[in-house]
Amino acid sequence: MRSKSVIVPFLVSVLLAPAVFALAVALGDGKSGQPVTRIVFAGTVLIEIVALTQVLAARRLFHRGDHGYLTWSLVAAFLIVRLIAEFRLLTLTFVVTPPKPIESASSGMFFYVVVLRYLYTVSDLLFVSAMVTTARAYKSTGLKFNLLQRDYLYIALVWLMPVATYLLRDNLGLIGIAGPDKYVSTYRLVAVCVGALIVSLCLVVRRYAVQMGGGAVARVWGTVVAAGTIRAASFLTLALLSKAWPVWAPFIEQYLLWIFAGCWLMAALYQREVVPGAAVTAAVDTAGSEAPA
Amino acid sequence: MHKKIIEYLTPMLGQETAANLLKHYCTRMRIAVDDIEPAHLPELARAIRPMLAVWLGSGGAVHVADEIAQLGRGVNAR
Repeated sequence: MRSKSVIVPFLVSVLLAPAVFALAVALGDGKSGQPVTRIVFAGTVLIEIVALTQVLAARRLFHRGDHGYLTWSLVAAFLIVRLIAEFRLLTLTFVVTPPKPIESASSGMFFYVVVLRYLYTVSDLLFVSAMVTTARAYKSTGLKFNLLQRDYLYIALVWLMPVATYLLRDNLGLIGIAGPDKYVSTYRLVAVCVGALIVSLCLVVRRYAVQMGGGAVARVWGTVVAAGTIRAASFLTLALLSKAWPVWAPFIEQYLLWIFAGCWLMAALYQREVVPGAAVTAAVDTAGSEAPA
Repeated sequence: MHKKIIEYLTPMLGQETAANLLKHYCTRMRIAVDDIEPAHLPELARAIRPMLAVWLGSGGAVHVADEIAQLGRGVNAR
Protein backbone atom coordinates (compact mmCIF):
# COMPACT_ATOMS: atom_id res chain seq x y z
CA MET A 1 0.00 0.00 0.00
CA ARG A 2 1.42 3.39 -1.05
CA SER A 3 0.50 6.82 0.26
CA LYS A 4 -0.15 8.06 -3.29
CA SER A 5 -2.83 5.43 -3.83
CA VAL A 6 -4.58 6.34 -0.56
CA ILE A 7 -4.43 10.14 -0.43
CA VAL A 8 -6.79 10.83 -3.36
CA PRO A 9 -9.64 8.50 -2.25
CA PHE A 10 -9.20 9.84 1.28
CA LEU A 11 -9.47 13.48 0.18
CA VAL A 12 -12.49 12.62 -2.01
CA SER A 13 -14.18 10.99 1.00
CA VAL A 14 -13.44 14.08 3.11
CA LEU A 15 -15.25 16.24 0.53
CA LEU A 16 -18.02 13.75 -0.20
CA ALA A 17 -19.14 12.76 3.31
CA PRO A 18 -20.59 16.14 4.37
CA ALA A 19 -22.34 16.45 0.99
CA VAL A 20 -23.98 13.03 1.42
CA PHE A 21 -25.03 13.88 4.97
CA ALA A 22 -26.47 17.25 3.87
CA LEU A 23 -28.39 15.50 1.10
CA ALA A 24 -29.79 12.89 3.51
CA VAL A 25 -30.93 15.60 5.92
CA ALA A 26 -32.39 17.74 3.13
CA LEU A 27 -34.37 14.83 1.67
CA GLY A 28 -35.64 13.50 4.99
CA ASP A 29 -36.22 14.63 8.55
CA GLY A 30 -33.81 15.28 11.39
CA LYS A 31 -33.08 11.57 11.87
CA SER A 32 -32.39 10.71 8.24
CA GLY A 33 -28.74 11.69 8.60
CA GLN A 34 -28.16 9.13 11.36
CA PRO A 35 -27.45 6.17 9.01
CA VAL A 36 -24.81 8.27 7.24
CA THR A 37 -23.15 9.04 10.58
CA ARG A 38 -23.19 5.33 11.45
CA ILE A 39 -21.68 4.38 8.10
CA VAL A 40 -18.91 6.96 8.62
CA PHE A 41 -18.32 5.45 12.08
CA ALA A 42 -18.06 1.90 10.71
CA GLY A 43 -15.75 3.19 7.97
CA THR A 44 -13.60 4.91 10.59
CA VAL A 45 -13.11 1.62 12.43
CA LEU A 46 -12.14 -0.04 9.16
CA ILE A 47 -9.57 2.68 8.44
CA GLU A 48 -8.20 2.32 11.97
CA ILE A 49 -7.68 -1.42 11.39
CA VAL A 50 -5.80 -0.72 8.15
CA ALA A 51 -3.82 2.05 9.91
CA LEU A 52 -2.83 -0.42 12.64
CA THR A 53 -1.42 -2.87 10.06
CA GLN A 54 0.62 -0.03 8.53
CA VAL A 55 1.78 1.22 11.93
CA LEU A 56 3.02 -2.29 12.75
CA ALA A 57 4.86 -2.35 9.42
CA ALA A 58 6.39 1.08 10.19
CA ARG A 59 7.45 -0.22 13.61
CA ARG A 60 9.36 -3.06 11.94
CA LEU A 61 11.64 -0.47 10.30
CA PHE A 62 13.20 0.21 13.68
CA HIS A 63 15.62 -1.82 15.75
CA ARG A 64 14.67 -2.44 19.39
CA GLY A 65 17.25 0.08 20.53
CA ASP A 66 16.03 2.86 18.23
CA HIS A 67 13.91 5.69 19.59
CA GLY A 68 11.42 5.05 16.81
CA TYR A 69 10.80 1.48 17.97
CA LEU A 70 9.35 2.65 21.28
CA THR A 71 7.41 5.45 19.63
CA TRP A 72 5.78 3.22 17.01
CA SER A 73 5.17 0.49 19.61
CA LEU A 74 3.26 3.05 21.68
CA VAL A 75 1.34 4.16 18.59
CA ALA A 76 0.45 0.52 17.87
CA ALA A 77 -0.68 0.02 21.49
CA PHE A 78 -2.72 3.23 21.23
CA LEU A 79 -4.51 1.96 18.13
CA ILE A 80 -5.06 -1.54 19.57
CA VAL A 81 -6.68 -0.21 22.76
CA ARG A 82 -8.65 2.32 20.71
CA LEU A 83 -9.92 -0.45 18.42
CA ILE A 84 -11.09 -2.49 21.42
CA ALA A 85 -13.00 0.61 22.55
CA GLU A 86 -14.35 1.05 19.02
CA PHE A 87 -15.65 -2.55 18.91
CA ARG A 88 -17.51 -1.84 22.15
CA LEU A 89 -19.10 1.21 20.55
CA LEU A 90 -19.85 -0.77 17.36
CA THR A 91 -21.84 -3.31 19.37
CA LEU A 92 -23.69 -0.54 21.21
CA THR A 93 -24.47 1.17 17.91
CA PHE A 94 -25.47 -1.79 15.77
CA VAL A 95 -26.15 -4.81 18.04
CA VAL A 96 -27.04 -4.13 21.68
CA THR A 97 -29.43 -1.46 22.88
CA PRO A 98 -28.56 -0.55 26.46
CA PRO A 99 -31.57 -0.08 28.76
CA LYS A 100 -32.63 3.43 29.73
CA PRO A 101 -31.90 4.68 32.24
CA ILE A 102 -28.55 2.88 32.34
CA GLU A 103 -28.85 2.49 36.15
CA SER A 104 -31.52 -0.13 35.53
CA ALA A 105 -29.08 -2.29 33.56
CA SER A 106 -27.27 -5.32 35.00
CA SER A 107 -23.89 -4.58 36.57
CA GLY A 108 -22.19 -6.27 33.60
CA MET A 109 -24.04 -4.08 31.11
CA PHE A 110 -23.35 -0.98 33.22
CA PHE A 111 -19.64 -1.85 33.23
CA TYR A 112 -19.70 -2.46 29.47
CA VAL A 113 -21.49 0.80 28.65
CA VAL A 114 -20.19 3.25 31.25
CA VAL A 115 -16.81 2.01 32.51
CA LEU A 116 -15.32 0.56 29.33
CA ARG A 117 -15.68 3.85 27.48
CA TYR A 118 -12.60 4.93 29.45
CA LEU A 119 -10.62 2.60 27.20
CA TYR A 120 -10.53 5.62 24.90
CA THR A 121 -8.84 7.58 27.69
CA VAL A 122 -6.30 4.78 28.17
CA SER A 123 -5.58 4.80 24.43
CA ASP A 124 -5.20 8.59 24.45
CA LEU A 125 -2.65 8.33 27.26
CA LEU A 126 -0.67 5.92 25.06
CA PHE A 127 -0.84 8.55 22.32
CA VAL A 128 0.51 11.09 24.85
CA SER A 129 3.41 8.71 25.64
CA ALA A 130 4.18 8.33 21.92
CA MET A 131 4.34 12.10 21.51
CA VAL A 132 6.61 12.42 24.55
CA THR A 133 9.03 9.82 23.15
CA THR A 134 8.96 11.62 19.78
CA ALA A 135 9.85 14.95 21.39
CA ARG A 136 12.62 13.23 23.35
CA ALA A 137 13.94 11.61 20.16
CA TYR A 138 14.26 15.03 18.53
CA LYS A 139 16.07 16.44 21.56
CA SER A 140 18.37 13.39 21.76
CA THR A 141 19.94 14.30 18.41
CA GLY A 142 21.67 17.29 19.98
CA LEU A 143 20.59 19.47 17.05
CA LYS A 144 18.73 22.75 17.58
CA PHE A 145 15.08 21.90 18.17
CA ASN A 146 13.56 24.50 20.44
CA LEU A 147 10.13 25.91 21.20
CA LEU A 148 9.50 29.57 20.39
CA GLN A 149 7.84 31.95 22.83
CA ARG A 150 4.64 31.95 20.81
CA ASP A 151 4.38 28.16 21.20
CA TYR A 152 3.89 28.63 24.93
CA LEU A 153 1.10 31.08 24.15
CA TYR A 154 -0.52 28.53 21.81
CA ILE A 155 -0.27 25.86 24.51
CA ALA A 156 -1.90 28.22 27.02
CA LEU A 157 -4.70 28.87 24.52
CA VAL A 158 -5.19 25.11 24.03
CA TRP A 159 -5.88 24.78 27.74
CA LEU A 160 -8.81 27.15 27.30
CA MET A 161 -10.44 24.28 25.42
CA PRO A 162 -11.17 22.15 28.55
CA VAL A 163 -12.31 25.34 30.30
CA ALA A 164 -14.73 26.16 27.46
CA THR A 165 -15.93 22.54 27.43
CA TYR A 166 -16.47 22.62 31.19
CA LEU A 167 -18.56 25.78 30.86
CA LEU A 168 -20.61 24.05 28.16
CA ARG A 169 -20.71 20.71 30.01
CA ASP A 170 -24.50 20.57 29.96
CA ASN A 171 -24.28 20.09 26.18
CA LEU A 172 -21.92 17.11 26.43
CA GLY A 173 -24.53 14.59 27.49
CA LEU A 174 -27.19 15.60 24.99
CA ILE A 175 -26.22 13.35 22.09
CA GLY A 176 -24.11 10.35 21.20
CA ILE A 177 -23.91 7.83 18.39
CA ALA A 178 -25.09 4.97 20.64
CA GLY A 179 -27.45 7.09 22.76
CA PRO A 180 -26.18 9.28 25.59
CA ASP A 181 -26.41 8.63 29.33
CA LYS A 182 -25.79 10.92 32.29
CA TYR A 183 -22.24 9.62 32.77
CA VAL A 184 -21.05 10.45 29.28
CA SER A 185 -20.45 14.16 29.97
CA THR A 186 -17.92 13.30 32.73
CA TYR A 187 -16.11 11.01 30.34
CA ARG A 188 -16.10 13.69 27.64
CA LEU A 189 -14.70 16.27 30.04
CA VAL A 190 -11.88 13.86 30.92
CA ALA A 191 -11.35 13.23 27.22
CA VAL A 192 -11.09 16.94 26.44
CA CYS A 193 -8.47 17.37 29.19
CA VAL A 194 -6.41 14.48 27.79
CA GLY A 195 -7.06 15.93 24.34
CA ALA A 196 -5.61 19.27 25.46
CA LEU A 197 -2.53 17.42 26.67
CA ILE A 198 -2.26 15.71 23.28
CA VAL A 199 -2.61 19.00 21.39
CA SER A 200 -0.01 20.65 23.65
CA LEU A 201 2.47 17.89 22.81
CA CYS A 202 1.43 18.09 19.16
CA LEU A 203 2.40 21.77 19.19
CA VAL A 204 5.84 20.83 20.52
CA VAL A 205 6.39 18.14 17.90
CA ARG A 206 4.99 20.40 15.18
CA ARG A 207 7.54 23.09 16.05
CA TYR A 208 10.37 20.57 15.86
CA ALA A 209 9.06 19.24 12.55
CA VAL A 210 8.83 22.78 11.12
CA GLN A 211 12.41 23.41 12.22
CA MET A 212 13.53 20.49 10.05
CA GLY A 213 12.84 22.64 6.99
CA GLY A 214 10.61 20.18 5.15
CA GLY A 215 11.39 16.57 4.25
CA ALA A 216 9.69 13.21 4.62
CA VAL A 217 10.25 12.88 8.39
CA ALA A 218 8.60 16.26 9.04
CA ARG A 219 5.69 15.13 6.85
CA VAL A 220 5.19 12.04 9.05
CA TRP A 221 5.04 14.05 12.26
CA GLY A 222 3.06 16.88 10.70
CA THR A 223 0.40 14.32 9.81
CA VAL A 224 0.42 12.84 13.33
CA VAL A 225 0.03 16.35 14.75
CA ALA A 226 -2.98 16.90 12.48
CA ALA A 227 -4.50 13.63 13.77
CA GLY A 228 -4.04 14.62 17.40
CA THR A 229 -5.49 18.08 16.91
CA ILE A 230 -8.51 16.78 15.02
CA ARG A 231 -9.19 14.15 17.69
CA ALA A 232 -9.30 16.82 20.39
CA ALA A 233 -11.42 19.10 18.22
CA SER A 234 -14.08 16.40 17.83
CA PHE A 235 -15.09 16.69 21.50
CA LEU A 236 -15.03 20.48 21.43
CA THR A 237 -17.34 20.29 18.43
CA LEU A 238 -19.84 18.28 20.45
CA ALA A 239 -19.70 20.78 23.30
CA LEU A 240 -20.14 23.78 21.01
CA LEU A 241 -22.71 22.44 18.54
CA SER A 242 -24.90 19.94 20.40
CA LYS A 243 -27.51 22.50 21.41
CA ALA A 244 -27.48 24.79 18.38
CA TRP A 245 -27.01 22.08 15.71
CA PRO A 246 -28.27 18.80 17.21
CA VAL A 247 -28.64 17.19 13.78
CA TRP A 248 -25.16 18.07 12.54
CA ALA A 249 -23.14 17.78 15.79
CA PRO A 250 -22.85 13.94 15.97
CA PHE A 251 -22.03 13.79 12.27
CA ILE A 252 -19.31 16.46 12.52
CA GLU A 253 -17.80 14.65 15.51
CA GLN A 254 -17.70 11.38 13.56
CA TYR A 255 -16.50 13.15 10.41
CA LEU A 256 -13.54 14.59 12.35
CA LEU A 257 -12.73 11.11 13.68
CA TRP A 258 -12.81 9.81 10.10
CA ILE A 259 -10.16 12.42 9.19
CA PHE A 260 -8.24 11.50 12.36
CA ALA A 261 -8.13 7.81 11.32
CA GLY A 262 -7.13 8.77 7.79
CA CYS A 263 -4.29 10.93 9.13
CA TRP A 264 -2.93 7.97 11.13
CA LEU A 265 -3.04 5.77 8.06
CA MET A 266 -1.21 8.41 6.02
CA ALA A 267 1.37 8.99 8.78
CA ALA A 268 2.22 5.28 8.93
CA LEU A 269 2.48 5.09 5.13
CA TYR A 270 4.69 8.19 5.05
CA GLN A 271 6.97 6.66 7.70
CA ARG A 272 7.36 3.56 5.55
CA GLU A 273 8.33 5.74 2.59
CA VAL A 274 10.84 8.00 4.35
CA VAL A 275 13.82 6.14 2.88
CA PRO A 276 12.92 5.63 -0.77
CA GLY A 277 14.13 2.49 -2.41
CA ALA A 278 15.62 1.05 0.75
CA ALA A 279 14.99 -2.60 1.44
CA VAL A 280 15.00 -1.79 5.11
CA THR A 281 15.19 -4.50 7.68
CA ALA A 282 15.42 -4.04 11.39
CA ALA A 283 18.50 -5.02 13.29
CA VAL A 284 20.80 -4.78 10.31
CA ASP A 285 23.53 -3.42 12.46
CA THR A 286 23.50 -2.83 16.16
CA ALA A 287 25.72 0.22 15.63
CA GLY A 288 22.62 2.00 14.42
CA SER A 289 21.07 1.88 17.85
CA GLU A 290 23.88 3.83 19.54
CA ALA A 291 22.87 7.10 21.11
CA PRO A 292 23.53 9.96 18.70
CA ALA A 293 26.06 12.56 19.81
CA MET B 1 30.81 17.93 -1.78
CA HIS B 2 28.81 19.22 1.19
CA LYS B 3 26.11 20.55 -1.15
CA LYS B 4 25.78 17.10 -2.64
CA ILE B 5 25.32 15.54 0.82
CA ILE B 6 22.74 18.14 1.84
CA GLU B 7 20.95 17.66 -1.48
CA TYR B 8 20.82 13.94 -0.83
CA LEU B 9 19.56 14.21 2.77
CA THR B 10 17.07 17.04 2.27
CA PRO B 11 14.15 15.00 0.84
CA MET B 12 14.28 12.82 3.96
CA LEU B 13 15.35 15.10 6.79
CA GLY B 14 14.55 18.57 5.47
CA GLN B 15 17.02 21.27 4.47
CA GLU B 16 17.64 22.66 7.96
CA THR B 17 18.24 19.29 9.61
CA ALA B 18 20.45 18.12 6.75
CA ALA B 19 22.61 21.24 7.03
CA ASN B 20 22.69 21.19 10.85
CA LEU B 21 23.51 17.49 10.96
CA LEU B 22 26.41 17.95 8.55
CA LYS B 23 27.71 20.97 10.47
CA HIS B 24 27.41 19.07 13.77
CA TYR B 25 29.49 16.13 12.58
CA CYS B 26 32.00 18.22 10.66
CA THR B 27 32.70 20.08 13.91
CA ARG B 28 33.23 16.74 15.65
CA MET B 29 35.56 15.61 12.87
CA ARG B 30 37.36 18.97 13.04
CA ILE B 31 36.85 19.81 9.39
CA ALA B 32 35.14 22.80 7.81
CA VAL B 33 31.89 21.97 6.03
CA ASP B 34 33.23 23.46 2.80
CA ASP B 35 36.36 21.31 3.03
CA ILE B 36 34.63 17.93 2.94
CA GLU B 37 36.26 15.69 0.39
CA PRO B 38 35.33 12.25 -0.91
CA ALA B 39 37.98 10.75 1.39
CA HIS B 40 36.07 12.01 4.44
CA LEU B 41 32.79 10.41 3.42
CA PRO B 42 33.20 6.87 4.82
CA GLU B 43 34.09 8.24 8.27
CA LEU B 44 31.34 10.87 8.08
CA ALA B 45 28.81 8.23 7.05
CA ARG B 46 29.78 6.03 10.01
CA ALA B 47 29.54 8.99 12.38
CA ILE B 48 26.09 10.17 11.35
CA ARG B 49 24.50 6.72 11.28
CA PRO B 50 23.27 6.76 14.92
CA MET B 51 21.55 10.11 14.41
CA LEU B 52 19.98 8.94 11.16
CA ALA B 53 18.66 5.90 13.06
CA VAL B 54 16.59 8.20 15.28
CA TRP B 55 14.35 9.07 12.35
CA LEU B 56 14.98 6.34 9.78
CA GLY B 57 15.53 3.28 11.96
CA SER B 58 18.78 1.29 12.00
CA GLY B 59 18.12 -0.34 8.64
CA GLY B 60 17.30 2.95 6.94
CA ALA B 61 20.31 4.59 8.58
CA VAL B 62 22.66 1.90 7.23
CA HIS B 63 21.17 2.30 3.75
CA VAL B 64 21.48 6.10 3.76
CA ALA B 65 24.97 6.05 5.32
CA ASP B 66 26.13 3.60 2.62
CA GLU B 67 24.81 5.90 -0.07
CA ILE B 68 26.53 8.92 1.48
CA ALA B 69 29.81 6.99 1.59
CA GLN B 70 29.40 6.37 -2.14
CA LEU B 71 28.54 9.97 -3.09
CA GLY B 72 32.21 10.79 -3.52
CA ARG B 73 32.65 8.04 -6.07
CA GLY B 74 29.82 9.49 -8.11
CA VAL B 75 27.86 6.34 -7.42
CA ASN B 76 24.54 7.55 -6.16
CA ALA B 77 22.10 4.67 -6.11
CA ARG B 78 19.06 6.95 -5.89
